[in-house]
Amino acid sequence: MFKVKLMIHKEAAQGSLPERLLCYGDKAKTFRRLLHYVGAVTPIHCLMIDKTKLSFIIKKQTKTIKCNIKQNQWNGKVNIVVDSLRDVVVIGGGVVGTAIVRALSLYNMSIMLVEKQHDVCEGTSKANSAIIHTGFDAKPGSVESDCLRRSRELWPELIGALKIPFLPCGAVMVAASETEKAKIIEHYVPNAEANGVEVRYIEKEELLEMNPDVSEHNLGGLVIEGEGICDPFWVTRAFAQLAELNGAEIRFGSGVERIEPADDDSHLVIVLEDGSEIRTRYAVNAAGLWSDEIADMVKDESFVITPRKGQFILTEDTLGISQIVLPVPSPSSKGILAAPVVFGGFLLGPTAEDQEDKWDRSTTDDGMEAVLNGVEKLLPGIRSATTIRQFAGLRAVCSTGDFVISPSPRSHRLIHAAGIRSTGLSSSPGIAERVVELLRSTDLIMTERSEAILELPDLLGESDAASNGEIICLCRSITRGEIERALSAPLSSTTLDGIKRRTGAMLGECQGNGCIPKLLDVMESFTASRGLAKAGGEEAPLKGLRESYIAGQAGGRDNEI
Amino acid sequence: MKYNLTIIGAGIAGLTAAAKAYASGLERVLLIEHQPVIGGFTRGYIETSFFETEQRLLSECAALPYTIMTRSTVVGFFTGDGDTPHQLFVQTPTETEEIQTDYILIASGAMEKPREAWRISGGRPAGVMTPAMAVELSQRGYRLDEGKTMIYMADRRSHGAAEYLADRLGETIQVSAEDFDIEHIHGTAQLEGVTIRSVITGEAERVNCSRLLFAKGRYGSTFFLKGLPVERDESTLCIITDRFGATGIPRVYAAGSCTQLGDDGHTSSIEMASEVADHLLAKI
Repeated sequence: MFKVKLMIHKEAAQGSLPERLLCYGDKAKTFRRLLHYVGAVTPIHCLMIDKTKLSFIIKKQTKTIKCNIKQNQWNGKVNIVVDSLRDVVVIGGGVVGTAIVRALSLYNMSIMLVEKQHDVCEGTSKANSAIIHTGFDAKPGSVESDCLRRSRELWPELIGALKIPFLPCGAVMVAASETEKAKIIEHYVPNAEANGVEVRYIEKEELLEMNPDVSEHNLGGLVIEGEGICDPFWVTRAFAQLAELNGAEIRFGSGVERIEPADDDSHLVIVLEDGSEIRTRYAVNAAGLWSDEIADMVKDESFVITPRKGQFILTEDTLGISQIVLPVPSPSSKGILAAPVVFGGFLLGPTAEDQEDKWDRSTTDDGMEAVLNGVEKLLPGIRSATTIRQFAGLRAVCSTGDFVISPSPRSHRLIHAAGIRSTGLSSSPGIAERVVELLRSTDLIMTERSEAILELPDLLGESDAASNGEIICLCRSITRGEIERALSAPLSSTTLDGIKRRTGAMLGECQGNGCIPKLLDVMESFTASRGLAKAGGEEAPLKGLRESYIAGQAGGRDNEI
Repeated sequence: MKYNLTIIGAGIAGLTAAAKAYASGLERVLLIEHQPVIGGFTRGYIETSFFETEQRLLSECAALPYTIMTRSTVVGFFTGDGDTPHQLFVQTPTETEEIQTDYILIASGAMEKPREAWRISGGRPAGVMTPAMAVELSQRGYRLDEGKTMIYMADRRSHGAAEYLADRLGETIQVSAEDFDIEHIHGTAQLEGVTIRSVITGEAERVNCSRLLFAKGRYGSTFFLKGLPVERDESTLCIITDRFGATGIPRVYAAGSCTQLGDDGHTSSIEMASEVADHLLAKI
């Protein structure tokens, strides 16, 4: 056990700026716990130097103090502002919540993200078509179209700064009949123009040249050059990592139980499922499918969220399409499409099925059939494709018909970023920008952080050392070094799905069955050697979601505290 | 290092060929094995009653004087022209080694085709795994005895796993692949139940359980051949060979369940590898 005696000078608490200790990587969690224990509850930074030493950089306005910690010994002093009142707590670690926390982390504020699962991107953000839309088809004048318009401006820089895998392939909306062609010309072209998105109609020859697998019966199509494909998990994770590097605290594994406004309306108290209380001046509701339940906690019933399932089929076969191929949409969905995937292969789907259960992400035979049926209209040969994976995601359909990005009518301290039905990934930077504007118009003092980190350092790149290159995942050639890097980078996750999304391991033909035991060995020895806590303090290995135990740890779970 | 013959995979097929090579007096032979121990797919259940022949083979091979690189994987494969040797890059736990070899025998075996390959509908909960994964977990001390386990009995691998795990699982229910299809998986975080459908009566039934051991069919472990002119079956990734194990590349042979001539239960691997080895050794 790693023991440190800390000397904390509480009298230093008068400073106007909260001092911070950035904490990530090795021993970070131990430290956080220790600092919480002594009553220091500010977001904590620490930088890992090597296995025995931790270096802290504490910024007190203009002064920087460096301290070193050795095993069993503390030879420095830390001055920490003891101010347990946070400026903003963001509820929900999906793409919207993490985009917001990233944007807020660029200001001198005390911020925190709470996510009920053990990783970011465990809900709607992880199971979707991965398209970054231009918003060519959004309803002009809607909040959604404004967020998409803002995002169009923001994405190019974000893609570079966050090293987001992105395929600028463009999309084509296929006209299967004269009626559809007319709908494109009469509705979608002027709609795109109203939204400031460049589109052009192409004839059959060009359509088939670019997408030889598309049915020859089509008349032509509307090309939207600006549409592209990304890795949604990368985006979400990178937003959160950047926020963490900028001092935001990210808290996994406990959802919000209730929200209690202070009697004098000076702040909110957010009570988590684990009983801990977080006091914050403002909260942002980015709880996706559950955002209506969060609103309900302040007696706000202004909107209701219902889930709409979308089922997908992933194929690794080579299809003759170079663009996102989509049909003319229906009122409930953009339609069943075929899109390239950044890692190779193609995604087919989604369906649009309204349901009540916010947890039911099961695929169905009817859904798979509906996907194939839909794609078949675009690509007649699709039924012969093989699949290595199928999945379903749930859209958060809002009763208001548009995004809800505004303070709650019942509490000005709760800002909604909710009702993000379909284009959450695409519009997340714009949503974050609007939320920042809303918060700037409050009594919060938001000064820009002068040393804010804007670019994600190379945290998860190829492992360069052959000395740590043992292949663990055979299907995808993922090495021990890559897995260890994923475990040691900021925002590490010790669920198997967390490792999967950070490294690409387990995504191949065997779907992890061949490598999970080996992965558990690597994780076991790595976390043990670094004294890291496992997801949620669980000893039994978790697949992804809470309670998703792969197996029981030797000795059984019952003996756990 | 330069070898006469490099055998990729120290499983049943690879070891059969190695034993043949030794009997024929061949000296410079290398075996490359991804796992920490030899034995291939049987290493989990070798002690069960289904693998007596394989047990004998393993004990015979224990004394082979050939170099066996374990925890090692082929990560690069460059074919030699004419008489120039083939070049392999092998990743070991500590380095990438370059190997020159005149002949190559691919005996890399196969992995189980999981639930996803069969488009089985339902949720994606924890608790659904292949028999081999269950055995590997159990060998590491992870407990599988909580709740009920359904085992889908498809071939020798699931029978071996069922026997090996017999006293390591709690309540079990065995479902024969000949009689039932797995139709739907229930549960979000943790498996709650499985709907099976009788292929005889057509009736479906939901069985509540917290674990499903399922695999049907196989994928050849041939990922390192991507980009090489070795013909593989698209849906199984198995190497297409003639009956003597010849692939599309001169001096590169394949045998066992990594080929289209192999079978899911690996029952023909010894015989096939034996025949391919005879043919191959006659040429060296």
